Amino acid sequence: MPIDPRTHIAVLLAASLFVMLARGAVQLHILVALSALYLTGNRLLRQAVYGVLAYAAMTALMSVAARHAVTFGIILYTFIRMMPVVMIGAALTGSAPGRMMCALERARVPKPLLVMLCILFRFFPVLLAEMQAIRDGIRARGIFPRWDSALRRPTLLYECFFVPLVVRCLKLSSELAASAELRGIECTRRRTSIQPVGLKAIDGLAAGLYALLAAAGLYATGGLLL
Amino acid sequence: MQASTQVQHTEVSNKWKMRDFITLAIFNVVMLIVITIVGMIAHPLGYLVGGGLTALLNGPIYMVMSNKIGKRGILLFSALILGLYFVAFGYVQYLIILTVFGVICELVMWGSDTYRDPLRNACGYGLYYVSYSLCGVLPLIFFRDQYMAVLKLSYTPSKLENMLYYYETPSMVILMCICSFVGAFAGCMAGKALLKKHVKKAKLV
Repeated sequence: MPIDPRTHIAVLLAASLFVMLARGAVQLHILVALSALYLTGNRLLRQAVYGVLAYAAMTALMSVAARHAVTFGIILYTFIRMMPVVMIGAALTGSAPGRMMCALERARVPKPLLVMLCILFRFFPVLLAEMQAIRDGIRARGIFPRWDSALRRPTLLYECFFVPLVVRCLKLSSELAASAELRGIECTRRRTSIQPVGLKAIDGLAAGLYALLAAAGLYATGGLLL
Repeated sequence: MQASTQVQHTEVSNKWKMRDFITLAIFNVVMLIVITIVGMIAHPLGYLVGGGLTALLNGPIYMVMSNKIGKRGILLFSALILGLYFVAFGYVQYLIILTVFGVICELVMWGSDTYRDPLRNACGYGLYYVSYSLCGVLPLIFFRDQYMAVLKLSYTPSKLENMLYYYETPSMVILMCICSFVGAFAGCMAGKALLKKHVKKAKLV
């Protein structure tokens, strides 16, 4: 049985707390390894491999970049620190929206907040894809023929990029709202889900093991601020 | 009788529907993406102008969102979403500060149909971004020892020293707030022009 979305949220919060408390590289390695293990346990092997590879690549690049480009090094450092959280977030975004809504409704999360949270998780990749499509459209039309054309006309760049994005957002929100209303989003009765929802022993075990191993790992390699 | 009908109408129009929450969430996702990208790109100057630059870029998006929804609570809910986003990265203090300022923003926006007034929107939105800039400053004022202990774990001494220069020097904090407010104001004015030029013409709002 797959792990409940509520457990993913608890583990996500624990991961962000441990990332804040991590002192150095070794502790981050431990957190990334644990997050990869968590993803593998959730049958998200591909995401686990991608996460570890991205982390390894960024860490390797960081050792070179930090010496030559300080700004780039800082950006990389931010990404590297957030990797354990991003990996657990992948488990959450991998959950079906209906299942997530049902699970969070059982946790008595208010419906408006629930809808907003689900959209936040689901629409990040959608809107990133929209941004990419707009960027491709700008390239295809040859609006900025040279690499510095965009820098010379920042207002036009903003207009060309954000106006289609805003219009797309308006359309998306109208379509999604109509679809959600037709599917009974405003229904006051308890929501059901075709997929299994419920906290089982495996949820407690997964969250407990993650927290225990992360705390032990951090403590053993340099201590925890407790 | 007419007055009571008007009050009833205002109450009905201020009631949030599910489609308003959906619109708010989708637009906030775009704003969060901008915040994340600007936060990373503008890192060297980020402490000083990061908030202002983000506010400037997000201003038109906010203006379209506020004109589309046009109900009380937009800034409070946006503050909650931004706070929850930062909680996922371990910054719980952001949620508390943003929620408090979200309530203050709502007080600034008090009145009927203020979310469709560009000037009032600019004031409320400016304050919202001032609060975003103060998220790193306020914990240093109220919980300095505890916050410093956590920061020492996450930052190298040089980075921490650099950050503290901006967050603890009063002139820098004031400059940061002014940058954020001016950026937000300019963003809202640009948003007003964008609304008139594109969105209202296409009858999308």
